Amino acid sequence: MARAVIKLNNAEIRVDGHVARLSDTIAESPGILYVKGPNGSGKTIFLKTLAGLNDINEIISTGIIIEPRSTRRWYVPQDPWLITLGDTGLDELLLIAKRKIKRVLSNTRLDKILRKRIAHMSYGERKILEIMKAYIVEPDITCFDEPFSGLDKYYRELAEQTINDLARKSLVVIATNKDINKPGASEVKVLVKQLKDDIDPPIPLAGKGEVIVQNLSIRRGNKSIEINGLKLKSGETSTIIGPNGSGKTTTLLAIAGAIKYRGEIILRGKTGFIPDDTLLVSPGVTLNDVITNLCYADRDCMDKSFFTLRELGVWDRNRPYVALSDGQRRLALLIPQLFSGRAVLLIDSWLEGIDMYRRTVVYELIKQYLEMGGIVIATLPRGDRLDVVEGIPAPYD
Amino acid sequence: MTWLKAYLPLMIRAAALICGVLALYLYGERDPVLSSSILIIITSIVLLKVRGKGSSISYIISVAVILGLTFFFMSMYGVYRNITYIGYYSLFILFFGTVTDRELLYTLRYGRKYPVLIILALKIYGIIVERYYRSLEMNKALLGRRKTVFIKGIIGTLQSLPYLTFRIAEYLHVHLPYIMDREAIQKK
Repeated sequence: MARAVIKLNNAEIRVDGHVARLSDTIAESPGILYVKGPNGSGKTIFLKTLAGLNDINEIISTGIIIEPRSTRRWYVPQDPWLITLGDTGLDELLLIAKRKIKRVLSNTRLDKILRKRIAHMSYGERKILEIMKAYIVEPDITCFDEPFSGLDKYYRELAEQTINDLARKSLVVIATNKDINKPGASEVKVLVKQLKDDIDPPIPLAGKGEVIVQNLSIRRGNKSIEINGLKLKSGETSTIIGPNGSGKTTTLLAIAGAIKYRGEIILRGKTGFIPDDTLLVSPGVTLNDVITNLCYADRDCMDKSFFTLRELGVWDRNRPYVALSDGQRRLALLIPQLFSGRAVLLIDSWLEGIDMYRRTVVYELIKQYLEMGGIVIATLPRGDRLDVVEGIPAPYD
Repeated sequence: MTWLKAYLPLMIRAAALICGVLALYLYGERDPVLSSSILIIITSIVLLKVRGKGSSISYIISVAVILGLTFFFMSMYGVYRNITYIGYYSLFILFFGTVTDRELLYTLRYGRKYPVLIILALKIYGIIVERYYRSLEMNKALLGRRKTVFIKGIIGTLQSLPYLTFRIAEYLHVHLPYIMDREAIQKK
């Protein structure tokens, strides 16, 4: 394996009129380089530059030196790839290499997932598949974009172990919005403008809502999901917990009335929904279009949403929605729904992918929304089995 | 039993293919509508079993589009026999469209680039249909069970095509060098 070195000296990346500046650093293999910065600071485009995807994305970079130039690189995106050549997880791994497959399959839980069709995998399961692909390939430089978000405890530990294994032989670059400090690891910060400390736009009164779920049973493929009871009135919250692939998103979709189910669901009031895959909202439109749609073209809601988003660092309303970072897209979907007077908010994957500062601000807004009579049901990849618990997690959970 | 398990899909498809060729040979000239209908039914069932709901639906949509074009030209020129082409198209899909990834993996040993491109071409339809379904679910959750969700889903899927192209290009850029160099990685 070639010894890879990444040198950053007054590094700057430009894409689509936006500039990201990086602190100076040198990282070499074997080891880990953490790329730290808040949502939308440019971590992903830096990783894409390292992975050689700058031509496709028309990224112009200066001050980034990768030696030797022939290093083999791999990129693991934050949202799993939309396309996969293999039908099942195992096919996808076999397309690249056969070695190490036995070692991967020796983990019984992983074996079960990899034999599933990729189309039937949950978001977290697809993420762990991507991490396993990098493990099998063992490139000189592997770039992971927020590898731990959306993973339950078991897979988070497995992902950590796999990435540490890779880092013993090669250079691993991890983009994260969390404050991780690992001894011996290098670090590069994406330099950004400081945001204001307080954001306090008034939340309008939420519509009066009610959620009653009794003996819910959902069949999806060969999976059966059961929820016994859930009763929420104005101002109340619940979190659906469970490991990856246990059916949290499916339950949320059933509550929203988007899929077929057995049992009883009574949902009173206008409902809002924030999916874990933020790109399901038309990627072809601008941020302005997304907010107009979610606010039902209500001027007051739109103004408050733009004000809050601007304060949270999402400035350009004419920017294509797809060009925003994952965290920014979550904010762009969540904020207008808080201001649009919806009675019930269903938040898939809670505040995953949003950095700590913005997470705290959004949490305060959600608390205001609850005081005004809103209902929030969130999902979180925690616990050993699918369950409903009272309350919503704190921002630092 | 392993042998049977490995080759059963292949044998079923071979049998379906023979039925299709016979239908075209026996009725293609005399009754193109009948032969094409038989082939459409066989192909959609085999596609459903081998590649799943998404591929089967996208095949039926493509047949509907071709049928629409054929009727359009029939009304213009009165060329009734053009319907046979739907039979040939179905036969083509039955042969190439139902090749499983496992089978293509074997061919990777002999010629690497082309099998990958074939799988990719087969996957793109499935991905578009899958995204349409998923965006339908999301729109239903956001807008309720209204008729507009179907139209919004179609518009959203069409709008996402340039984005899909970029993502596919990124995926291929990252994966292709390794797939092409599979043997080297194997030995590493």
